[in-house]
Amino acid sequence: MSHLGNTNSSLNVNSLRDLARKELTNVLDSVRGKKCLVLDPNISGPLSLIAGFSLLKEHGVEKVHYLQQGPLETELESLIYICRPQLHYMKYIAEHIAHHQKDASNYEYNLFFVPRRTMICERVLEEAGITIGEYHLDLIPFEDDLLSLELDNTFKELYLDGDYTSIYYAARALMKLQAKFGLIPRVIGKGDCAKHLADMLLRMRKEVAVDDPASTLSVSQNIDSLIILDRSVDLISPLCTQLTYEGLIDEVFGIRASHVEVDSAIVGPTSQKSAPASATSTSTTSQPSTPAKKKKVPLNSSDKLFVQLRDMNFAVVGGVLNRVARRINENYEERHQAKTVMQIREFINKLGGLQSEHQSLRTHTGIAEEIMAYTVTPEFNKALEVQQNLAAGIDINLQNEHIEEMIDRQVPILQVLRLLCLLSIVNGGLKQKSFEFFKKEILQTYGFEHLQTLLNLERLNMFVKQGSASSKFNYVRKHLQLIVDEVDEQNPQDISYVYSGYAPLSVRLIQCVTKGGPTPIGNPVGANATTNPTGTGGAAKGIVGWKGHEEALKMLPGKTFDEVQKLDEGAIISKKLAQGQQPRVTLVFFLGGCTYTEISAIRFMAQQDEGQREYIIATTQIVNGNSLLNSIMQKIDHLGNSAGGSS
Amino acid sequence: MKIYSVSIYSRDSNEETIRLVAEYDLSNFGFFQRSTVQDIIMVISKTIAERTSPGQRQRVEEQSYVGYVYARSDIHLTGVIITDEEYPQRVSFSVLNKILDEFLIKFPPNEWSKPETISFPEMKTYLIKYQDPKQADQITKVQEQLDETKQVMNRTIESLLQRGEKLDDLIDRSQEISFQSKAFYKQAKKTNSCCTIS
Repeated sequence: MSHLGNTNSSLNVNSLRDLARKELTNVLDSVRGKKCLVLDPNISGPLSLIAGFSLLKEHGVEKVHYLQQGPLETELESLIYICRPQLHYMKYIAEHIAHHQKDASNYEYNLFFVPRRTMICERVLEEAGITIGEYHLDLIPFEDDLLSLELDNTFKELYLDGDYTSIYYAARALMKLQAKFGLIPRVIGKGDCAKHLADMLLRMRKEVAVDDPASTLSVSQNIDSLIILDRSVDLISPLCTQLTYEGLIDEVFGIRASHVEVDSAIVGPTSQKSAPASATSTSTTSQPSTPAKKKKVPLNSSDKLFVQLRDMNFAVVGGVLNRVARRINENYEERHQAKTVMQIREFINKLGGLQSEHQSLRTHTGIAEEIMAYTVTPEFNKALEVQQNLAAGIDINLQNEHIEEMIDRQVPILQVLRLLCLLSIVNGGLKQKSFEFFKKEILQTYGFEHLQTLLNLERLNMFVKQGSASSKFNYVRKHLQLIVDEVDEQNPQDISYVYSGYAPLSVRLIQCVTKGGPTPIGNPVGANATTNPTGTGGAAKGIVGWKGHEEALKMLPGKTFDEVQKLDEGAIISKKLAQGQQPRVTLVFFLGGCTYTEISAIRFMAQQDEGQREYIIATTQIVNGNSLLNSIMQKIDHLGNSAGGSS
Repeated sequence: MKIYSVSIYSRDSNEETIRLVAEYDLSNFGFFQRSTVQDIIMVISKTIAERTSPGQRQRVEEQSYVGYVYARSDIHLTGVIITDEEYPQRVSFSVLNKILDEFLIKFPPNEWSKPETISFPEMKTYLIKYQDPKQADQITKVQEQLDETKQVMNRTIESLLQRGEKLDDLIDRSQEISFQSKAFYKQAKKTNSCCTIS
């Protein structure tokens, strides 16, 4: 948790976390005495990023429970519930209350909704005697350049259910951000929901001005632009397999709230791996196999080795690990040269750091091996080949056959659906015959419940029959240079390294807005920037906007917009930024989720900018192809067995 | 290692060296030899003291005896220690320093004219105490502790590094990974696309 605030970014993201922490302590202190905290399982992850258990203890929390079905056993009489306003949680709470009432015990219930109460939840709890409040937790800082609302299922809610609640939450979060860091003068974006969000922001600002004329938002000293992108504008990027180290960890293991859960054998000493030898004992009673112990590994910038590895293409990770291992070994060998006490003392001072590097090396070598095991399989490579060909628009019919083969081999449905949706999106739909064919194959191979899944995908325009319009994507691909032939994973020149040849569409759009277009390959931005010979250096160029790309944007779904938030009097942009005295910050908001590869690509872009423009990424949550499709997949409980929905 | 004698000399008005205090520990020698040895030592000490100019430190070897002498520069006071060959030099000099300082504090120069009246029993105690040089020498003491500490630290570091996964193992494993992972499948160059003949 202490890893925030270490970089030289001009925006102090730490203050957001401090704000959230302070509000949490206010919430806790509003209830007197010793209390028991009950959390919904999805919120405990983000909450642990805000406050540790010691902070909770300081404010009187004796025990922490998860909010689940079934009675709540506790001796403490004050209960605080913190959860998202969802109906099934309300049912659990009502059950708890009913159960306690039977005991005739005198409990005190306090419920805090995150981030706000909803009428429907209050209705359910009307009878029960609970005090209800709100805990305004919204944007949680994961890194100095990454903020997340940690709202699950926004993709489904926004595009399938037509539930715009998350847009409201996003707007509130952004207003809070502007209250802290100043008004953002330019709001640009693409996508219907994005436009909705922008409109909401503009309206909210007017409301604030009306409600409280004294509070004048001054223009931001750091942020000069907000780019909002709908997930639906670029579905290709999450559907392709992420090829960065962090991206692959998410694909293979799944990262929740910056933590990944792995078998402890992977990160622990090798002695654990030899344990099975002892299990071959000859006892008459059958020995139950001990479930592999899991360990939660934090993945953030407090791990220096991880910072090096996370955004790299996985192909080069092994080499880096090897170099680091050798370097640590050399450092350890230095102990033989320490003769005087002074030298020994210096070595010992370094030893602590070396040991933690060693542990980190051990962890990541283990994780990389696991990922390796997955990426060398022919299935993985086949899927990758299909993706690359589809993204490049080559040999489409052949890809059809490959996908068919996969279904025959009963490859997990998520993998198949990812490829089918990719096929559909890139080609503007499938031919009638193929469409019907794949539909039948899926239902027969994976279960009839997926009729609903496929209908959902159709509604989302992800798996459709070819309409009258031919593929618009070809134009976009060419205009935005999405496919790049020469990719050097060791020394990437362009953001396309994150997918080994495909540049994420969403990030290309960002490049259009901030730089005027996809950066020419092999030509870093610095070479094109006008440098002032008098030494003020290349002043950061302002936002270019969508100029020159209107045609391409028309091919992509959703409205395009470019708004300016004016102050009644005063400059549109802060003087400091206009003069180039400090780097301009662009806040990028992904509505509906963003992937780790997009984060890596944006970081790469920022690096190429050589400090002239910084990027902060905010999102409703972090997603990947699996989590996205999982959220809209139909699941059925077959008499206690879960349907083949999860990968 | 042994100190045989400690003695302090001064110069009288006639530039003659007179002995102020002397103590002996001749337990190493046989009973009948002791008086002879004492005489020899007295002679050596006096001679050395005479031949040492103020501010000078010297080390003299005579037969099996080693004499350390220190003549103070500020005042006519000279200290002599006679030891065997093993006794460490640095310790001897620091003992001399100490004894001379203490003597000076206790007996200011005006009392030196009558050596018979000088009673400095502390010297005897020092003689006995510093038979073990470690007692005298702070530096030696610290040095020994240091050496011991160094050994302990080295042992600790070694054991610390042994625990957990060996680094060599990690080097091998990561090498495996880097060998095995080739670059991901990339779109082959489109050799058969847009074949325009210009």
